Amino acid sequence: MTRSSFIRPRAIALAVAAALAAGSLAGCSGKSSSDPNTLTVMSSFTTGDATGNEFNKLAKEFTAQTGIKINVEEVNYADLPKVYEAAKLANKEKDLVIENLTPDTTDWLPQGQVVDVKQYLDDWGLTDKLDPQAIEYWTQGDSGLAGFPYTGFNWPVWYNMDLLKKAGITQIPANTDELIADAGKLRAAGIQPMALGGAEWPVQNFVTWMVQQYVAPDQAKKLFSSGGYCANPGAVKGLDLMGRLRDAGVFIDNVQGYTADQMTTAYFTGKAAIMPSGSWGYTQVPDAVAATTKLAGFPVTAGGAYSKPTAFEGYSDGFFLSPNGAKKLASVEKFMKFMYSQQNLQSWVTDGSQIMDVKPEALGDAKSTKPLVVQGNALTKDVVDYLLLPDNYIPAGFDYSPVASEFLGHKGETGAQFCKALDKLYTDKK
Amino acid sequence: MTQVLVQTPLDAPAPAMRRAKKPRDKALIALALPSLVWYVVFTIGPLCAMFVVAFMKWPGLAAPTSFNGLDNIRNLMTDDRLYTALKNTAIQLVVSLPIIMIGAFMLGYFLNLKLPGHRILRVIMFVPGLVSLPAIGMLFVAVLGPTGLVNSMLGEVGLDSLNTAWLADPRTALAALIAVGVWSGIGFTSILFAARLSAIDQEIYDAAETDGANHWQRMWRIAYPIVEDYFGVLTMLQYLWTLFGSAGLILLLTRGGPGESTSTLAWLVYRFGFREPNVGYSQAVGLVLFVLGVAGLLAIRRAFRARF
Amino acid sequence: MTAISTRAATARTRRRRRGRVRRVTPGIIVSYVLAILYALALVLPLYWLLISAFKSRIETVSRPFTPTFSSGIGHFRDVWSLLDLGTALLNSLYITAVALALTLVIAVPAAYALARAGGRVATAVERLYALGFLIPGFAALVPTLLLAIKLDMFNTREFMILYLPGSAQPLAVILLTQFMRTVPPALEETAMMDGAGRLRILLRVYLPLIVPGIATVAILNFISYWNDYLYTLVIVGVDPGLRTVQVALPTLLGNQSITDYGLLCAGTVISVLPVFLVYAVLNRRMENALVQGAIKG
Repeated sequence: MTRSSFIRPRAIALAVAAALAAGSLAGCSGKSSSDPNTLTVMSSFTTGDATGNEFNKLAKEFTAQTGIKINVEEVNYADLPKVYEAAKLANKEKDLVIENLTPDTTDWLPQGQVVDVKQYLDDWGLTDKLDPQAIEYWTQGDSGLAGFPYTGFNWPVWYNMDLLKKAGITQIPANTDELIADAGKLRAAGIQPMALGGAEWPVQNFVTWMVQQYVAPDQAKKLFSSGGYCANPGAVKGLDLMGRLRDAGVFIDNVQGYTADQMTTAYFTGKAAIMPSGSWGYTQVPDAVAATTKLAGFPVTAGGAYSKPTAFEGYSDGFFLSPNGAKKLASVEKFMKFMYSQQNLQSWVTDGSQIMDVKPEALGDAKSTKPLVVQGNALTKDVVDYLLLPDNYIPAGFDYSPVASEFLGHKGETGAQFCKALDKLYTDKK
Repeated sequence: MTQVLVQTPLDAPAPAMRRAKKPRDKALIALALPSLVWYVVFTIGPLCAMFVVAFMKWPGLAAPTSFNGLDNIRNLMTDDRLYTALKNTAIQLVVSLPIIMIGAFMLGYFLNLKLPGHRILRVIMFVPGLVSLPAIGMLFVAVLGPTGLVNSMLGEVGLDSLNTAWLADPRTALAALIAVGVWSGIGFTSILFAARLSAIDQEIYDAAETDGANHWQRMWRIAYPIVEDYFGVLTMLQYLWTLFGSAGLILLLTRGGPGESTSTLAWLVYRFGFREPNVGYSQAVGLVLFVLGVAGLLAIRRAFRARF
Repeated sequence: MTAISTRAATARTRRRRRGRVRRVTPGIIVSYVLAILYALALVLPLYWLLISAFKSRIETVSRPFTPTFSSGIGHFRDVWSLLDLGTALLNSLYITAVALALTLVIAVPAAYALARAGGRVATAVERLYALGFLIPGFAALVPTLLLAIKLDMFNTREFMILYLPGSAQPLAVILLTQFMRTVPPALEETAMMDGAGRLRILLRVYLPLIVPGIATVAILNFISYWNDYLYTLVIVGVDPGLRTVQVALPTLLGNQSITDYGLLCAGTVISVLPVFLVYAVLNRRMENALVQGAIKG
C-alpha cells in the first residue's frame, strides 16, 4: 500500500509555510485608516490610462509637498460602487472616492453614504474656481452637493472625412435627411455608415439624444427621472427618428450587438465612417484616423427642438467625500486645494488631455496639443447646441441598453412600441 | 467559483463498497465536528440569512434597512420579469441538460476506450474549468460579436446572409448562451463519466462484444444501466449548476438583453441585488431559486427511480 | 466485492500485457472526428488568450483570431509592473494555499468519520452537507459580507481563508467519503489490533490510500479559490497590498474608455499559469483514482 502513493506531511507543511510567508510579504500595507495624515482614495482613474497616470503622479507630488500620505486603491469604473458600498456597510469606507455621478452613484448622497460638500467648497474658496454648471450638475436638490466636480467631457459625433469623400460626400450632413441620404451613399461605396455601441451604455445615451431632438430640457428632465415616454408626443417622435435611421441603414450592420469597444474599434480602423462618442477617446485614436476626423454635432432635425447640431457635454469624475474622510478635514482641505491649484489643473489639460470642470480663468492658458482635443474644445455653444445630460436624472440602477438593443435589432418597430418598453423600466421599479 | 464546486461529482467508485460493515464506531462522528462547524458558520449561516433578508426592504448595500413583511414576495408574484425569467430558465434547462448529460456520457465512454490520444483529450476537456470566467466572457464577445469568429466563418463559406449579432439578436441570444454553457459543460462532465466508467469490469464489455453488440449497444445497454445512479447524481449537479450558475456569464455577455430575452432567475438575483439595487427583492428571487432547486432534485430522483 | 475488483484489475493488467486489439468501426471514426472538433473548440480560449497577449489594442478587437505578434512581449512586462502582479500573485497564492490546506485538514477527518461511523447521525450529517449545493451563487454574497463585518474581518485576506473552506466542505467531504469507503475495513482492523488509535489509522492507513481523492479535491478547489472574483473583490477589497490577481486584472477595464485587451490578455495568461502548473502536477494522481482503488481492494 505504500508503493505508489505517499502523503508527504513535511512537504505540505513546507508549502503552507511558504504560502504564509508569501502572504506576509505581500500584505505589508499596514495602513491605519484613522490616521489623519493619511488619505485613502478609491479611484476609478486607473493605471494604464491617461487619468490614472496623471492622478498617481499628482498624489506623489502632494505627499512630497505636505507629508500627507495618499493611498490610492484603484478599481474599475463598473465595480467601484459595489466595493465602496460594501466598505461603507462595514464603516470602513475610504476617505475619498473618484467616480462619476451616474445612476450607480446618485443614491449615495441622499442615503448618507457620502457627505454634502457644499460648505467645504465655499469655505475652501473653491466655489469661485468651478464652472457653475458643473456645480449645478453635482447638486442633488435638498441633499446638497454630492462631491467635488473635477473632470468633464464632451460627446460629439465623429466623421471620417476620407471615407465620406470616397462615397462622394464633401461635407458633414447638415440635417437628418442628408444623414440618411449620405448613409445610402456610403453603403453604395461599401462603407459602413455609423458605428454605435448598441449593446451597451452608448445606446442609452443615444436614445436620450434622439428623444431630445423633439423634447426641451425641462420636459426631458421629467422623462429621464420618472418615465412617461409614451405620453410625450415629442419623445415618441424622437424614438421614431431612431427607428427611421435604423430602417434606412444608417447604423453599422448588426449594430444591436456592438459593445462600446467594438464601436470605437470599428471607427478607429476605418470600418465605419461616423460615430457618436466622447472626449475620452480623443487621445486613443490612431494618428491617421485622427488626422481625417472632424468633430461636429448630430445633424439638425427639421421641426425639432434645436436649431444647431446637437452634442452632449458633461461632468464625469469628481471627488466624493465619505463620512470617514469628513473626520480628516484638515488633510482633505489641503488635498482638494492642491488638486484645484492652477498648476495642477493645467497639468491635467496638457499631460492628461482632460477637460476640467473649472472656469477658464482658473485654468489659465493651458492647452492640449492633441488635434482632437483641440477640435473638441472648439465645439462651443456657437457651433453646437448642448443637450441635457441624462446621467443624474435617470434613477439609480437603470439600464436602457437591453431594451434599446432590442429596438435597434427589430426593423420596423416604431417609437410608439419602443416607448412602452422604456416606460416599463419605470413602472417595474417599485 | 460555483461552477466547479457544484458541477463536481461524486467521483465515486462503485456504491457496492458501502457494504463494508466493520468496524463501526458512532463516537467517530466527532471527527466531523470541525468541518461541520465551519460549514454551518460559513455556508448554512448565509443561507439562513437569505430567508431573513428576503423579507426586508433594503435599497442598496449600505442603505438603511427595515422589515417589510411579505411585500417582496407579493411584488415578485405580480412581476412579469419573474415569469419571463422563469420561462428562459426553463428553456435553458430543458435544452441544455439533456444535451450535456447525454453528450458527456457518450464522450466519457469514448474517452474510456483509451484510444490513442485519449490522454491529451482528457487534459483538454478540463480547459473551460481552468480559465477564469471573465476570460471566457472576453473570448465569447470576440467569437459571437458582430465582427466575430462565427460571422467571419459564415462569410468565408458564403453564408453572409446568416450573419447576425448572436448575443444581441432576440432570436439567437438565449441559444448562444445555452451553447456556451453546453460548450463548457460537456467536457468537464465527460471526465467524470470516464472515471466512473473505467471502474466497470472490462470482461463485461468483452462478453457483449463476443455476442456481437456494437459500441452503441454496449454504451446504452450495458454501461448505462450500470452507472445509472451516477448518471442521476451528475444530472442533479448539472441541474443545480445550470439553475444557479448562469448569472456570471450573462453579466459578461448580454446583461439579460436584448430586451429580457436572456434574463434568467440567477441573473435576476444579481440584477436586483447589485444593479438596481434592491437587496431584499434579490433574496426573494433567491428563495424562488432555492425552492426550484429542491423541487428539481426531488424530480430527478424520481426520474431515476430513487436508487441514490 | 473485493474479489470482483481484484479480478477486474488482473484482467486489466493481463490485457495491458498482451496489448489491445480493437476493430476500427465507422462509428469510432465519426466519434473520433467529433471529439477532436470539440477539443479544438475547447482549446480556442487558450489560443485566443495567447495570441491576443501579443497584439496591439486595436488588433485585438478588429482581428481577434489572427496571430499578428505585433507588440512582442511588451504587454507582459507592462502589465506586470502596472498592476504590481508580483504582489497580487503572492496574495492569491496565500489565500489559495492556506485555504486549501485548511479545507483538507477539516474535510479529511470528517470524511473518515462519515465513511466509518454509520448510523442515523451520519446519514443526517450527509444530508446537511447536501444542503450546501442548494445555495444560489450570488445570493449568498450579501450575507457573507455581513458575516465578514460581524467578525470584524472585512478587508482581510484571512476572512477568505476561513470562508472558502467552509463553502467547499459539502463537495470535499462527500467526495472524500466515497474514496474512504473504498478502503477495505480489514486493513483498519489489523491496525487496530496492533493498538493504533483512530487518528493514527487515519494518517497511516487511510491517507496513503486516498491520495487520488485528495488530488481531486485539491485541484477542484485550487481552481475555484484561485479564480474567485466577486467575493474577493467585495470582501478583501482593492487595496494594492491585499488584492489578488483576479481582482487586479479588471482594473484594466477603462473608465468609460477603451480597454486594452492585449494588456488584459497578457495579465490573464500570467494568472492562468499557476493553475496549469498545479493541474499538470495533480492531474495524473487524480486520474488513476479508480484503478488504484481497485488494485488495493
